[in-house]
Amino acid sequence: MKSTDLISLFERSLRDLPEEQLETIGTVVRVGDNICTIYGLTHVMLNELVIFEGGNSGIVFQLDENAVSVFILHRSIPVAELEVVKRTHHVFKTPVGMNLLGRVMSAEGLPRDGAGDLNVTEHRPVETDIPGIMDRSPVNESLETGILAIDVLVPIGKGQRELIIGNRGTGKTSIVIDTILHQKGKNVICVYVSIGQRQANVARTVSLLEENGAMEYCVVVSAEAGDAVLNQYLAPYVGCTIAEYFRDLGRDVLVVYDDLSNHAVAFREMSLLLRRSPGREAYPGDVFYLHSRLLERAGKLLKGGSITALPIVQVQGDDITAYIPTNLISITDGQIFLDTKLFNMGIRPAVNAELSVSRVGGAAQTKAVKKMTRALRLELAQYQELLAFAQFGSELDDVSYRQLERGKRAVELLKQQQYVTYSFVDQALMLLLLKEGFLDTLPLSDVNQFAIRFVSYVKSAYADLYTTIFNSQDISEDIMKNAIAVATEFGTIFSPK
Amino acid sequence: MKDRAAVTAVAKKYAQAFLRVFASEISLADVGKIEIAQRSMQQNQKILFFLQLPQFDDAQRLSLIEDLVGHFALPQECVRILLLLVTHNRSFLIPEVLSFIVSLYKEAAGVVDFVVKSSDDLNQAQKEKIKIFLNDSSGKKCQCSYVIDKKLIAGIRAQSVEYIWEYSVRKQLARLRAAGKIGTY
Repeated sequence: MKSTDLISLFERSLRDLPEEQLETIGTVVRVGDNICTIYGLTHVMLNELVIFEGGNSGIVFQLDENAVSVFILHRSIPVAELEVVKRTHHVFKTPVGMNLLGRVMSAEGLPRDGAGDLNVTEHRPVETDIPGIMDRSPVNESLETGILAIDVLVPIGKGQRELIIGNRGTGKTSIVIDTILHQKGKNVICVYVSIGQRQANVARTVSLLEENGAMEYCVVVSAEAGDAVLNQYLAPYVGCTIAEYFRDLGRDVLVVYDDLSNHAVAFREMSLLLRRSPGREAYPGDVFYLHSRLLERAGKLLKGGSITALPIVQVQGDDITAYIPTNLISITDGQIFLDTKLFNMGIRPAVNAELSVSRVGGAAQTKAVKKMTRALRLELAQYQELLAFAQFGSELDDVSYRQLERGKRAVELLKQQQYVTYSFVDQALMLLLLKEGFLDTLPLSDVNQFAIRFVSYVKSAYADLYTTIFNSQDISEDIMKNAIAVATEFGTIFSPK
Repeated sequence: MKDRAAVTAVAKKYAQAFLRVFASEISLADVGKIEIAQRSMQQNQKILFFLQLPQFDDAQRLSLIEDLVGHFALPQECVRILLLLVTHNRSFLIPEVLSFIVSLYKEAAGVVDFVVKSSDDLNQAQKEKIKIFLNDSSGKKCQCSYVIDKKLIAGIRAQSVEYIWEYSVRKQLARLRAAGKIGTY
């Protein structure tokens, strides 16, 4: 090769170098706990991503007359005083794409599962416009959780926002994990957002999803307790943005925020560091907007695709009248209240039928289940009332006694093992047993076993009956007669193990 | 007035008032001298202490201020603002007020101070070229001071309060490091 060729090659390589531009900068004048005050950064936007010369990055959260306040993304990289900070001219964006399925990522968009790069090309801003009224469709399609107590008493529809509320250790995460596992083969994509949880808990959840083959339709966004407070703040918005990507492709998405009490705490920490006025429980005044703008992004769209949100909130001492829980109750379309007392009595899932409600899910419930559960909520309420009355030891009349016994069996039937989920046909068949009094003569300990084995019996010996209910999603008079006949037949051959 | 923010706010108001009256009567060169005086007073607080001593009467105090203005070759208009601050027992504000006069004047005149760091000494032609480039890019009048910085390895870095322009081997290495292509250095 001639020297002239080499020179031309050299010149060409120089042309490929990015041209340096005059960049707008600021200077770090104060560094605190995850927060920096920066002098300069003229014309910077609120929520703009800024890059520190030392390799850190942050987001602008407050614009003052002479300085801006920035929260940093990486706690591990130190920020020096007088360090130069550059603008990026865009807000924080998160990677989105089909390749995210099966991956565990951090709120800042980095892989957390050690499986290499995320391999996505598209990035979306985490704060976007909420779909308008005219773009939305009413909730009319059921999203099965596979949990009998929920699908029967507080049914959830696609596009609904159902709050899961309870004390610590009452099975809130178990419910959402079961729901995610139940979506296998149902063409629903799941996004699990972990906020401020212990790493061990997140690792356990991920391995559980992997073991059950659920990771292939799941994305896990994790902002652990040890992460910077900004990551915990961003995590649900990142999860929602990923869910929106799939929704825009016309897919149904289930997004779980576990949990929003930690999210509110992270936001409170940020607001106090920004010296914003503390309000009730030291939360800032805009804490309602923090969650309303997140949960309003859920919904079913007319053009297709939906986001169903299952936010979780933890309460102290079963008090659902605390600030954040009441906010979330008012934002969501219903709540599933998990009762510590029920949990300790061995009733799991510990769904409190009286305090749990689904405002829109009833319209989405399948006809088969709806027909079988018409009076169940009322029966359970009467049972709870009678139970309190019976505790005084007073004598009960026959009707009350029968109600009490029926209630006991209903409660027993609603008990369900973890990681075992039922399809709507299973649920309808189980409820038929209760409705038609097949469980009335059984000892309480055999109720659950009887119901489960009856469903297996129908599946194996009367598969056509099972398929008919599945296809029609309804139980007609004829099917009902058949099912009762099968139940009678099963009653004669059932023997408890 | 222990609150730093309050001190800054008051000092800014004095500077704004001064410039509203005298901005047309002072030049950029005068502002340069004010900057030198400000730095000197910031470092030598004894000057401010003397101005505030109760043993001096008003005439003596005026004479001291005139000496000070003469020493730093400040424009005569500065006598008025310095006297005002001293008679109101606010001599401690003087460095801050002068600093604001400098920054506000430069801001209004579209003047930006750049520190140009280079790995090697630059000749006059190169300095002129850099100045023209910075003027054109920022759309402001740039005042450059030149420093040699071997940490750049090779290249140039021009930085003001608002802007930065860098083309150096150090920056390229930092980019490669950020992209995970090389380790720490």
